[in-house]
Amino acid sequence: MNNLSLRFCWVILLAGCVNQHQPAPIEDFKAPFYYGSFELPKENPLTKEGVELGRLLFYDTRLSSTNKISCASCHQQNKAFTDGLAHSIGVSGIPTEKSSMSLVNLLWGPRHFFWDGRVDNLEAQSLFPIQNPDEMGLPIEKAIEKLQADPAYPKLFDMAFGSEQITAEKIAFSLASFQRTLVSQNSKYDKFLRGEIELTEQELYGKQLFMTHPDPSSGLRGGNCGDCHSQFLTSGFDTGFDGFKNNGLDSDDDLQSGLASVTGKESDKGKFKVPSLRNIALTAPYMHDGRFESLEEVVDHYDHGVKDSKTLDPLMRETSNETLKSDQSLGFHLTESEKQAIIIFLHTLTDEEFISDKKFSDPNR
Amino acid sequence: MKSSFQIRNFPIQIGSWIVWIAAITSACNPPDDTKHVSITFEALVNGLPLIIGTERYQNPNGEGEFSVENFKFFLSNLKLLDDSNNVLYSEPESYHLLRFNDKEIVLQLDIHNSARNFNKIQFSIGIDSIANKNITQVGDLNPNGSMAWNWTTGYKFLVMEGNYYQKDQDTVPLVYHIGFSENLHTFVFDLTPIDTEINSMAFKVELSNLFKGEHIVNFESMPSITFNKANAQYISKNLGNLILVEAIHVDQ
Repeated sequence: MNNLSLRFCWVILLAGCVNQHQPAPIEDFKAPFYYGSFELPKENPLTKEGVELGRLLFYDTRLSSTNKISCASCHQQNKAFTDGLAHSIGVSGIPTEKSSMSLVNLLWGPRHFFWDGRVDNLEAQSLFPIQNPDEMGLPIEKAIEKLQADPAYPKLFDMAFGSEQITAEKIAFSLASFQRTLVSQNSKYDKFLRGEIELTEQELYGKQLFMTHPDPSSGLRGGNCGDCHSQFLTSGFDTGFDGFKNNGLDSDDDLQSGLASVTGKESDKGKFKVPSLRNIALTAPYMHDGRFESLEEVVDHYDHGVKDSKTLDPLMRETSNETLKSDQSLGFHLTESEKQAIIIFLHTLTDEEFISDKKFSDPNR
Repeated sequence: MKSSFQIRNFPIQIGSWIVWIAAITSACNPPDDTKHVSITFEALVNGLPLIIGTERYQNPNGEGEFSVENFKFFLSNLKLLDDSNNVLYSEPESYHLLRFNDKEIVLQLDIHNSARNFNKIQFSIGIDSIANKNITQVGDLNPNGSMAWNWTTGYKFLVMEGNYYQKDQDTVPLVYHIGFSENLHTFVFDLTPIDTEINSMAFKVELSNLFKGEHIVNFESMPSITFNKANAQYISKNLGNLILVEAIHVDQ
């Protein structure tokens, strides 16, 4: 180290970083202003080397016990990082309980991960699927062994983290970093928000219904999607557990614990993460267990298929385009053309660039 | 620390030193010419602590009970005044989303010495018309947050959601989403005749007062208020009784 570095050595130590190699900040990272600000953990800034390493790991099937399954097996780019299945099949052959979630815009939206919100940071989350016996089935120590023995990986870890010693933390850091770069911001809706294109009349109508909370007393009609799916991100909210809701999928008899298994509160039973709707036309089937195969089925559920339970969200109970009657099914009671318009609007959330961007693709292809 | 940014490709060496130096200076103590003041809010229902979800409370206007799933509001434009109503301190980016969830909420202020002899506090429940048209983030205002309505109306500034239960009747959802700039309510609490410096203030938020006061908001006839302007204005007349002083702590 030169004199300048030595003089500032105590500064580096104080900041808790003794790296000799300085990885570079990533280039070309952009995010639309209407997504708002985001936070990065200070221990894991976004670096070029960390992101690139994360991408290699994401697509590496050796991170499974069979050497056949990678993160990308259940998170496929052309399906906006889902797999088109209600339940995924991993190394054990036993279908997973929950459906693969779309990895998109992870810097925003709820700060808790998995459908039940049981992990509060992306780094920790990334190690679970690797070790889950019904997903990739590889204990992390074995993953480290495989990577350490590889001719290329130790050097890549050195460039990203300043040492050839591979640890679980560094695997997690790099996977999280790569996933954070998966930003979808060039859908028709995004281009409309930026004033680059117009939406059709039907698309605008659908957008209006999406954002409007119906009020029969004043003749205001809407699908009220915006009360749970934020207006620009279309995801759940990022404050506390505000982004976890019971949207009436099950009655009390069938209600799963969901968020209650994290908070221990009875009032959180049946609440699941409100996902982003970006690229929703590509990420069928829908809901935490993939029970709805089409957007039509989803909209019909909200329209007249909502099931009552003790923890049903008051908004689900209250939202209706007709004055509430006790003999009426719970739901929003939209017209056919209103339902169609909402679905047409949802299609504007498809981002062709996101699903084909080489920066997010398999580096081995 | 939150910051909105574009990653720039500045030279690595310089960039690193800036980060380290900032880390050192931010760890230093705040300057000696400031005073720390804390403001606490505790939510109650009928005088009892608010517990989200499971607890049931007596209907303040009639039969039956109700539960609270969600109670939050924006506190904005906080100022400290002297007894002649001169503004001694005006909090920057003063938009706080108070989300009541079983715990008291504490706001921390660091005010300049010149403001330490304040004896009035002023703040609003509501969002002013300028902030309602702004879709960038200021304080807790977040266009992707749970209080966003849409980009023409801005924000709902108070949300109360819950359920109303009556014997042998269906559960009635309670949904009160109050917005519109004109419904903003400003509070001024005169803390005189205290003549020593105030360190902290504790306020209680009595949720049942949202439904009574100037106007009765009956759960049976008005279980839901959203975009209807007349109804929003009606319930907003009760905001003045929502917040009450609990305690004031002074220098010994």
